[in-house]
Amino acid sequence: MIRIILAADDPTSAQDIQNRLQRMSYDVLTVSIDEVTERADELHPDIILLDVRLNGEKDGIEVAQQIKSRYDIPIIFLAANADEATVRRAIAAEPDSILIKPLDALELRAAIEIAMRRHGIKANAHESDRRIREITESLSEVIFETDMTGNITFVNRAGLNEFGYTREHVEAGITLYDLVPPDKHNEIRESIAQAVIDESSQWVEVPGVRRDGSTFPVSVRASLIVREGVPVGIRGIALNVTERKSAEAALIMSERHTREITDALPIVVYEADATGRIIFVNGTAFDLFGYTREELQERMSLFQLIAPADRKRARRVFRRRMAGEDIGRVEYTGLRKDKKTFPIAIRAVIIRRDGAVGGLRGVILDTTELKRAEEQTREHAHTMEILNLIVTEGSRSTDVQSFAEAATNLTLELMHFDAGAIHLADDDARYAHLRYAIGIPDTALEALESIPLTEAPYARFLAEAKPFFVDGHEASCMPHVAKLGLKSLAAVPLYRRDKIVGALTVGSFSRHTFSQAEQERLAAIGNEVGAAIANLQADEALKESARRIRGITDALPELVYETDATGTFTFVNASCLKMLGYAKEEFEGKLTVFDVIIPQDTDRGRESFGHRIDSTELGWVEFTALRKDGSTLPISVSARPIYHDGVVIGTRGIAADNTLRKRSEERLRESEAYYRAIFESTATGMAILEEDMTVAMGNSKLEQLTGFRKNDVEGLKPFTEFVAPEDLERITTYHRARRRDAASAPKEYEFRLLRKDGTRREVFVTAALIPGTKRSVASIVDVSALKTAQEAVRKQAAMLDAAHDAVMTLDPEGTITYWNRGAERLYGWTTHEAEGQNANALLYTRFPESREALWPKLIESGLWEGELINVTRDGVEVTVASSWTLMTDGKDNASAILEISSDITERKKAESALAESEAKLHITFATMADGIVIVGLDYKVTDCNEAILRLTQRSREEIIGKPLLDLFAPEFHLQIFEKHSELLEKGNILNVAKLLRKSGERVDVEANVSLIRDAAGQYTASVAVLRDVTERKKAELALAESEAKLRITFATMADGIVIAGLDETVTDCNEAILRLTQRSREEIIGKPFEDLLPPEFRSLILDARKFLVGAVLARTEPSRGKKETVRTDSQLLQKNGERVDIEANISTIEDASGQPAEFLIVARDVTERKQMEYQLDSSLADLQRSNAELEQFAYVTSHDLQEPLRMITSYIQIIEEDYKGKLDADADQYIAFAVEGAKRMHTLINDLLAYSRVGTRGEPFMPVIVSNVLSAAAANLEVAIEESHAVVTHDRLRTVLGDESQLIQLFQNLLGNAIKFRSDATPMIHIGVEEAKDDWVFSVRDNGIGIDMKYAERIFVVFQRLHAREDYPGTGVGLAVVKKIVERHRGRIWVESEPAKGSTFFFTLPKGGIVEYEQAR
Amino acid sequence: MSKRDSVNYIEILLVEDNQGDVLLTKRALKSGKVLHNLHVANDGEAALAYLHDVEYGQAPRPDLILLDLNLPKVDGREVLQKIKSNEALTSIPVVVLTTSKADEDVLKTYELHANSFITKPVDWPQFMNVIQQIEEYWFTVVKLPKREH
Repeated sequence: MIRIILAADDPTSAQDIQNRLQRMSYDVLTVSIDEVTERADELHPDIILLDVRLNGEKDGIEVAQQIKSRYDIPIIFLAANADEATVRRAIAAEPDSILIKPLDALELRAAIEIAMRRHGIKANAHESDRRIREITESLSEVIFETDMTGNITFVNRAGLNEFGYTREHVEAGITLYDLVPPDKHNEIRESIAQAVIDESSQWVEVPGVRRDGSTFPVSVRASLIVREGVPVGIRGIALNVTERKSAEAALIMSERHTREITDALPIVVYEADATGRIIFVNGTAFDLFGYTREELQERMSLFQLIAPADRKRARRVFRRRMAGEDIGRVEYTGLRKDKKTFPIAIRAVIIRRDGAVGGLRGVILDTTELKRAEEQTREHAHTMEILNLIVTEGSRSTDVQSFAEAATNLTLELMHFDAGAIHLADDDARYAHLRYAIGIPDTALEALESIPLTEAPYARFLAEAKPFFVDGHEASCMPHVAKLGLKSLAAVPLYRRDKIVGALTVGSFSRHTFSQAEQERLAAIGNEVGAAIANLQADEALKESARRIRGITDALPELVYETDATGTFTFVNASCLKMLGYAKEEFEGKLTVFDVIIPQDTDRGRESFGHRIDSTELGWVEFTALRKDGSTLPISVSARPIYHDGVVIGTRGIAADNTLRKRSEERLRESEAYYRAIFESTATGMAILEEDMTVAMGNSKLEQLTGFRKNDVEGLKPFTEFVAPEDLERITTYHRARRRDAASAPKEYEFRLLRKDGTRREVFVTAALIPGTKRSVASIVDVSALKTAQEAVRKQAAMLDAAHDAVMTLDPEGTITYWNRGAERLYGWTTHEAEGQNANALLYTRFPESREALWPKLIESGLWEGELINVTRDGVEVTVASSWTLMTDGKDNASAILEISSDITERKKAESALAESEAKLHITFATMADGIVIVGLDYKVTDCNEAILRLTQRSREEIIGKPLLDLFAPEFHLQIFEKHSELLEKGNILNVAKLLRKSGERVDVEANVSLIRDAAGQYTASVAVLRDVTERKKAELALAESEAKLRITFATMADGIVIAGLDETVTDCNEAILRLTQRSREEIIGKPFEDLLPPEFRSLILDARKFLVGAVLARTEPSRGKKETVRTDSQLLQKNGERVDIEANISTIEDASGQPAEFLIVARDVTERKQMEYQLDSSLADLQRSNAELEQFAYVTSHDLQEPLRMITSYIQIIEEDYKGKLDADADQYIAFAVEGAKRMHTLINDLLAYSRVGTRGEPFMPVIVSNVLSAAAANLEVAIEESHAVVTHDRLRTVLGDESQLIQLFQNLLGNAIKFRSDATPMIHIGVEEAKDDWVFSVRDNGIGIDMKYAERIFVVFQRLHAREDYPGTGVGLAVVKKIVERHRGRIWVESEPAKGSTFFFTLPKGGIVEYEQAR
Repeated sequence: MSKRDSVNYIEILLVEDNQGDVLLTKRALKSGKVLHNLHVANDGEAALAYLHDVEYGQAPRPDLILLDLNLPKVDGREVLQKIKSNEALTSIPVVVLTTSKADEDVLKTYELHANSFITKPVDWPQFMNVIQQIEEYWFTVVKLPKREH
C-alpha cells in the first residue's frame, strides 16, 4: 500500500482529501506542516502531499525544499487560489506535480501514480549512474568524461591522482586541453572528431601534462557518450605508459651497456667457444689474471687460466658441461700471467647459437678470501675441539698428575707435536717441577727436572704471561732447545687467573713455524689446563685437609662434624657415629643436623644453624640429641661456617656430651696443676705478669736468667726491672698496646735483659694475654745464638702471614715494605705488586681526619686507631678498622709504621641495615591499627602512635608525659597495679580493660603489655598494644544470648536430643530424652550412646557415624558442603528394657575448621506413627487379599456360570426349533424371551470374565509398538469400520512398555465405542498423543453423539449404561475394562465430551514405560 | 455293534460327563451327513477303560475322540496325556470340546498333543454347526490313517 503524508492547511479540506485518498486505498497520515519533516523521518512515506500555503511557521515550499534535500521522495503541491507568484515559486522548488484545489479525485490519483512512477524511473537511472561511477572510481586506469566542447565533467580517482588535480579543481572547470601540451591539441581534436564519427577513436599516444607542469607519456582512447540518440560528450580512457616506455628505452640501452656492467662486476664473466677458446671476457679478468684484453680475447684458451695440475680435470668438466650436464661450481687453482696461483671457482652454462651448442658462458670467482675464511673456521673448530677435550678430561680427572699427563698427551696428539712436557709450580711460584714428559730424550730430562722461575729467561716468560715460541729459524741460537733435540718449541704458561700454576712445553724435531692460529690455540690451551690444574690442586688440598681432619677428629672424644649449607652431614667423626649409634653410610649425605636432635629442639636448631651460616657468633648451644635407637643425650654444640672462595658452603662443628664437657672442665682444672708443673720445669724463663707488669709468678729458669730468687720477685718486682733502660719504653708500649688490643701488639720481640749482677743478655720474649684475664704471660729465651733469633723472625713473619687481618708495614714516606696474605686477600694485590708502591696511591685511602691531624697523634702516642676506606684491586670500597703502630729506631725517629686492618665492611652494612630496620619499625609503629603506648619506669607515657590518639580521642600532648592510668577507666586502675608484678615476672601479660576517652566514654580494649629490656636485660620501659574489642564484645554478647536461646530450645524440645563426642560418649542431652528412655541425666551423660539402643540397632549408629565423618572429610571445601544427615528408624531402650520406636536424625556438629567434632542425635518418638503404619499395612494387605479373592471369585463364577447357562440356552433353542408353532402363540413368545435372556446373560458373563481377567490374567509388560496395537484393534473391528465408513487417523505413535493384548483390547473398546456411538455423520476418529511431564497422554477423539459430562464418571463403572439396549447394544463393561487396563498400566483415563458434538477419551501411559526409538515407518 | 462291520460307519468316542451335552452332541451328529457309531464315556475312568478294551480288541477303535476337559474322577487332560503317550492310541485324533476359553487351557491341551481345541458354543445352532464341522473336517477333509483290523 502506498503510504502518503498529507500536510494540508485547513482541517476541513485535509479531512476531505484524506477520506478520498483512503477510499482509493492509500495509507494516509495527515499532519501539520511543522511535523512533516519529523514524521517523514519516522514513517518513510512513499509520497508527500503538501499544501503550498500553510498556516504554520514555515511555508510548504520551504518544507518541500528541506525534504528534497534529505530524501528522495516525490512531492506533490496542493494549491488553492494560487497567485502567479506562488505557482512560479512552487515550480522552482521542482515538485513532481502541482494540483490546484478543488481537487478532482481522478486527477489526484493520476498525479500520485505518475509521480510515483516517474520517481521510480529517476531513482533507477540514478542508481545505475551511481554504480558506473563507483566502478569507474575503483579502476586504476584514468577515466574521464567531457562535454562536446572538451570541458571535463568527470574524472575518476586514478585520473585525479595521475594528473595531480582534486575534485574541487574539476568542479571549478578544467578542459581536456589543459591535460596535454598545446602542440598536441590538434591530435586531441582529431581524436575527438574520429570518436564522433566512428563512436570511438584509436589509441593515441601523447604526453600528459600534470598540474605541476611535469609530463608523462599517456596512451588515450576516446569514445562517444550518446544520450537519447544525441552525442553529449566524450568518455576517455588514458593509460600512463611511462613504465612501458622506460622498459623499451632500457632494452635499447641494455646491449650497449652489457659490457660496461659486466666490467663493473667483481667476478670474471666469460664466453668460450666449443673448444674452450675465450671469445669474450670482461674487464675484471684483466685485473685477476694480469693479461690484457688483446692477449686474452680470441687468443687464449680458458684452460690456460688454470694451473697445469688442474687442467686435465678442467677439460673433463668442460666436456661434461658442453654435453649439457648441470655441474655447478667447480674449484680450481687459477694461474696468473706472473705464474702466481690462487684459488678460483668456475660456474658455466651452455650458449646456444642457431639452436646448436656453441660454447659456454660462465663466471670465474676469486675464492682466496673464501678459502681463508674457511681455513679460519676450520682452525677455530679444531681449537674448540681440543679445548673441549681438555675441559672434559679436567672434569673427569681426580688427581693433578693424571690430568697433567692427559692434557700433555692430548695437546701433542691433536696439534701433531713430537715431544711435550708439563711442569707445575710450587706454592711460592719460585720453582716449577717436571711432572710429565713424553718424546724427550732421557738424557735431557735432568735439565728439565726443576726450572727456577725467578731466573732469566723464565722470569721474563712469567712477567709477560704469554706463550713463548721458538721456531725453526731461532732454534740454533737457543742451546737448551737444541739440548732437548728439538728444532722448534713452544712454552705455554699455565695460569689460574693471575697466578702461575705451571708450564706446558711442546716441540717438534723438525723445523716448524708457529702460525698465528697455532699460537692462539696454545695460549687458549694454557688457560684451560691451568684452570683445570688449579681446580684439581684445590680439590686435592681440600681432600688432604679432610683426610687430616678425619684422622685427627676420629681420635677426639667430642663429636666433630661438617655439613653442607643445607645442614646435611658431609663428614662425621668416629665419636659422632658411636655416640649417636649410626653407621657412617647412614649418616654422611643422608642425615641433617635437624634429624639428630629431638623434634622439640628442631626450631631452635634451625635458628641456630641459620646463625652459624651467617657467621653469627653463638658459642656453645645446648641441645638434646636423638640417637638412632630413640634415646636422647644432652649435648652442647659449637660450629663455624666453612668458606670456599669467600662463600659459606657449610659448617664445621663440634659437639660434646654435656657430661663429657663437665668432665673436660674437670680435666682442665687438673691439667692446670700439670701445666704449673710444666711451667716450673720448662727450659724457658717464664713469667706471668699482672696488669701493672708486676711479676706474679716466675719459674726457676727465670731465676737462672735474672739471677733473682723467685721469692724476691713474685708479687714484688715489676718486670720492667729486668729490662735494660734503652728498651724499657718500647716494652712498656707493647704491653699497653697488648692490653688494648692483643692483636695490635707484637707478640714476640727481643730486648736486653738486665740481670741482678748488672750484666745484660739478649733475650727473645713471646708474650700473650691470658685469655679472660688481664694478666699476660711471657716466655723468655736467651737468644744470644743467632739461629734462635732467625727462627724467631721466621716465626713472626709466618704469624703475620697467618693472621686474618691485613698487615702491612710502611716506611715513613708511605711506601709499602711488607704486605701479608691477609692484605692480599683483602685488597687483591699480591705482595709482589704491592711492595714498593705508595700505600695511599695503591689503595686510595680515605682517612676520617686529615693526615696533618693524624700524624702528630701517631708521633705522640705511637698508636692510631680508626676506620679507613680503601679501594681494592677490583675497585670495590672496603671499610677497615685500622690500627697503626709507629716503630721508631733507637733515636725515636719514626722508622716504620705497622698497619693492621680488619675488614668491617659487612659490619658497616649490618649497621646501616639495622638503622633501616629501626626506621621500618618506626613506620610500622605509626601505622598500626592497634593503639600503642610506651610507658617509662615512672608509669608515664613516653611515646604513642596515631592509632591510640584515635582510640582515646586525645591529642598527642594529652597522652605523652601523662600517667598511663589517665588513659584507663578508674575501676581498672587497681587491676593495672596488681598486674604489674605479673608483668615483671612473665615479661608479657594480656589483659582486658576499658579505655577512657576524653569525653568520658569508655572503649573496651584488649591490652597486650610487654617489657622492654636493654641489652643488659634491664627493664627500661614497657609497651602496651591496645586493641579495640568493642565489636568483639558485642559479638560475644550476641553469641551468649543466642546460646541461651538455643539452650532453652534444646531443653524444651519434644524430641529427644543427645550430643555425643566422636567416641560416642554422650556429652549432653535434653529433658525429652530422659522421658523417652526413662533414665536420669546421670545415667546417660558420660555413657556410650549405644547403651540407649537395643543391640540390633547399635551397628546402625556405627554405620551412620562412618558415613557422616566420611562425608565431612570427603568435602573438597571445608564447611561449605551440604550438611549430611542420616535419618533412620530405630528404637530406644528404656531403663526397664522396654523399647520405644523412634526416628533418629543423626548429623555432625563441626568445629570452626569444618572438622566433625560431635554428633547430634535427634530422636523422635514414633510409637504412634509406627502403630498406624502397622495398621495401615495390615489393612492394605487385607484389601489386596480381598481384591484378589474378588477377582478370582468373578473369574470362577463367570466360568462356572457358563456351563448351566449353555444348557438353558441350548435346550430352549431346541425347544424353539422343535416346537415352534406347535404350541400356542404365547408359548412361542415366552420361548423367544427365554432365548433372548439367556443370550444376554451369556454376553454379561463373558464381559464380566474379561473384566476380571484384566487384573488376574495379565501378561508381563514388554515394549509394544502402539501403531501395531492400533492396527490390530482396527483389524478386529474391520467389519464395523467398513459398515460405518469410519475414518481412523492417528498422530505419530510411540512405543510403550505394556501388555500388548490388553492394549489391543483397550484401543478396540475405545474405537468400537467411537463407531458404535456415532451420529448421522461419517465417523471421524483420531488417535492423538501428547507429551506431558511424566506421561504420554493418548486421546481417542470422535465426532459421535457425545456424552453429557454429568455421566463422565459413571461411564467407567462396570455395567453402567446410558442408552437403551435397543438403541445401542452392550453390557456396559467395555469402558470398565478400558479403565482397568489403563490403571493396570499405572495410567489415568477421563473423558471430555459435548452431546451431539463428540467425545474425546484421554488416557495416560507413564513415560517411564516409553521405549525411545523411532518407528520404522 | 451291528453297524460296526460296515465300512461306512465311523467310530466316535465322546468323553463327556454332562448328559445334556451328550444329548446335544448326539442330536447334532444325527443331523449330520456322516454315518457313525457314537460311544459315550461319562468320566475319565470310563474313557480309559474303553480305550483299554480297544487296545485289546475288545472294543471298536474310535476314529475320533471328542474329549471334555473337566471330568469327574480322571481329568480330561490326564486322559489326553494317556492317549497321546500310548503308541497304540496316539494316532487317534482327539478334539477337545470344552466350555473353557482360557488361554492356559488351550495351550496346555495343545502341549499334550490334542489335535483340536474347541470351545462349546453357548448357542444351540452354533453348537450344532460346530459338531457338524468337526465331522466334516475330520471325516471328509482330513486323510486319516488306515483303520487297523
